[in-house]
Amino acid sequence: MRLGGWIFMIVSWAVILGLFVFSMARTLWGKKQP
Amino acid sequence: MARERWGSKLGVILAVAGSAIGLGNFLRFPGTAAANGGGAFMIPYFVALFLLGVPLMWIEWTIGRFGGGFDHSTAPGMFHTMWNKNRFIKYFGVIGIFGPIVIFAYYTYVESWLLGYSVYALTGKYNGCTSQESMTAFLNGYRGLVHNEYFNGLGPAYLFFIATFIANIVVVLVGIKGGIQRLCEWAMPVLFVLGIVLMVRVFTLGTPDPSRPENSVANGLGFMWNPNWSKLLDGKVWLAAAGQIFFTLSVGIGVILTYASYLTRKDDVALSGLTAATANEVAEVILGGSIVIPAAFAFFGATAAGGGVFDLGFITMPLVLQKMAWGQVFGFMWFVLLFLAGITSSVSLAQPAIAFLEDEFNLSKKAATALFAAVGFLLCNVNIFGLGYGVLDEFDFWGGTFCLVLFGTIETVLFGWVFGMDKAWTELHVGSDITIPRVYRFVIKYITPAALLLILGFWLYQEGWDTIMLTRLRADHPEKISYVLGTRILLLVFFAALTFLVWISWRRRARRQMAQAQETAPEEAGQ
Repeated sequence: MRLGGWIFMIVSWAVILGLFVFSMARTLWGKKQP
Repeated sequence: MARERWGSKLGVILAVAGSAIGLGNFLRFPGTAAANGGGAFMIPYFVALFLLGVPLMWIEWTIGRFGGGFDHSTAPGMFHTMWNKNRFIKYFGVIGIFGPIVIFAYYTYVESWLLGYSVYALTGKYNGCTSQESMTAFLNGYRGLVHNEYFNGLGPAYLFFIATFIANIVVVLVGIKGGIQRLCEWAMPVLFVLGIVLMVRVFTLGTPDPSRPENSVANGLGFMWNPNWSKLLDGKVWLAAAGQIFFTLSVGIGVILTYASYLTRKDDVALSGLTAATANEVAEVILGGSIVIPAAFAFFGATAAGGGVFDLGFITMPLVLQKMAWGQVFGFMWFVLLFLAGITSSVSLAQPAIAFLEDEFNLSKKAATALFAAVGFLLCNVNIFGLGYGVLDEFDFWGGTFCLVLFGTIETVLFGWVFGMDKAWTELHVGSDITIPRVYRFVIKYITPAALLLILGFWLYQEGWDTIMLTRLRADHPEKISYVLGTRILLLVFFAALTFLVWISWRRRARRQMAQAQETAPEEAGQ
C-alpha cells in the first residue's frame, strides 16, 4: 500500500473511532443537558 | 393496553445499530470503495455521512419519538400527526410499512443461506470446492437453481429458511424489550468480537504464497485504500458515496421511526442517533473494510477482490477461508458474523407491520405477529421459488431501493418544511444529551432534501428508467418477463391492500370520535 493509502486509512479510522468513543462515552456516562 | 418501551438507552442504540449493520457493511462497502477511488472515496463518503446520513438519523429518531407520543408506531400515523390538515399525507406513510415487509421477504431468505453456510463451514461440506466454478456450483445447488453433486434440491435451503423465519418471528413475538433488545444486546457485542478476531487473522496473513509476493494483505489494503484522485471529479463517485451512506444506515425504510416510537418524550434522540450511526460506521469502515478485500487479494489477487457483493460473500470468502489454518472455524465465524448482522436487521423489518396492526387495529401482539407471519411466509416463498426468474431482484428494486429513496425524501421535506424547522429543531432537542451545531438547521432544511432529490433523480436517469421499462431484461432474459411483470402486479396489489387498511383504520377512528362526540353533546346540553 502506498503512503497515501495508509494516511487515508488511519485518518478514516481515527475520525470514526473518535466519534464512536465520544458518543458512546457521552451515552454511558454523560450528563443531561439543562 | 400499556405501550411497549425499551428497557435501557443502550438497548435502543444497539437495536438501531443492529438494524443498520447488515450484509452491506461487510460486503457492499469495501467493493464500492475500491471501485470508486479507494481512499479518495472516503472524502465524499464523510461529506455524505455528515450532510445526509447523520441528519437523516436525527430526522427519523425525532419523527419516531414524536409519533410515539400519539401512540403511533408507524409512518401513516406519524405523518398524519405532523400534518393533520392534509388528509392524504398518511397514505405516503404506507411506504414505511410496505418497504420493510418487501425487504423482509427476500432478506430473510438470504439470511438463512448464512445460517446454512455457517453449518457447512463447520462440518466442512464445501471443503471439496477449491475453485470459483465449483463454489459457484455449490451455491447454485444450495439455492435449488441446479441439481448437482452437492445438492439434489431445495430441501436443505428450505429447512434453514424455516429455522431462520421461526427465529425472527419468535424474537418479534416476545416483544421490544424482551425480544429485540435482548437479541441485540448479545448479538452486537458478539458480532464486533467476531469481526475483530477475523480482522486480526486477516492482518496476520502476510503473503500467503511466497511465489506470488504481489498478493499480500498490505497490497490488498492498498487495493482498497490507495487514493485515486481523478475519481473525485466524477459525479458518479459522489453519488455512489451518498448512496452507500443512505443504504448503510437503514434510513428511509421506516424501521427507525418504529424503534424510536417506543421512547418516552424525555428520552434523548440527538446523541442516541449519532451513537447508532457511528457504531454502524465502525462495523463498516473498520471491520468491513479490513476483512473481505484484503483476504481475497492476498490469496487470489485483484480479480477476486473486485468481485460482486454475493460473489465476495458466498464464493470468494469460503475459498479464502479454506486456505487458512483453522479454516473451518474461521469460516464458521465469518458466516455467524453475517448471520447476526442479518437477523438483527430482519427483526427490525418485521416490527413496523406488527406495530401498525397493534396500534391502528387494536390487535394483540400474538394476533398481529401471526398475521404478519402468514403474509411474510407467503411473500418469502414467492422469493424462494422465484429466485431463478428475477423475482428477488424485483423485490429488491422496489422495496430495497426505490421506496427507500422516495420515503427518505418525503420524510425529510415533511420534517424541515411542513412541520417547520423551528418546531423540528425544538423537538429534536427535547431531552437531548448534546446540543447539535446550529449549522444543521440549514443542512436539514436545504442540503439533505436536495441531496436526496439528486440521488433519486440521477439514479432514475442512470438505471431506474431501464429497470422500470425492463429494457435490459427484455434483451438478456426475455423468458423472465412474465415472472417479473407478475411480481410487479403482486407488489402493486399488496401496496393497494396496505393503503386500504390505512383508509379503514382512519375511517373507524373517525366514526369512533363522532360517536364519542354525540355521546358527550347531550350530557353537556343537559348541564
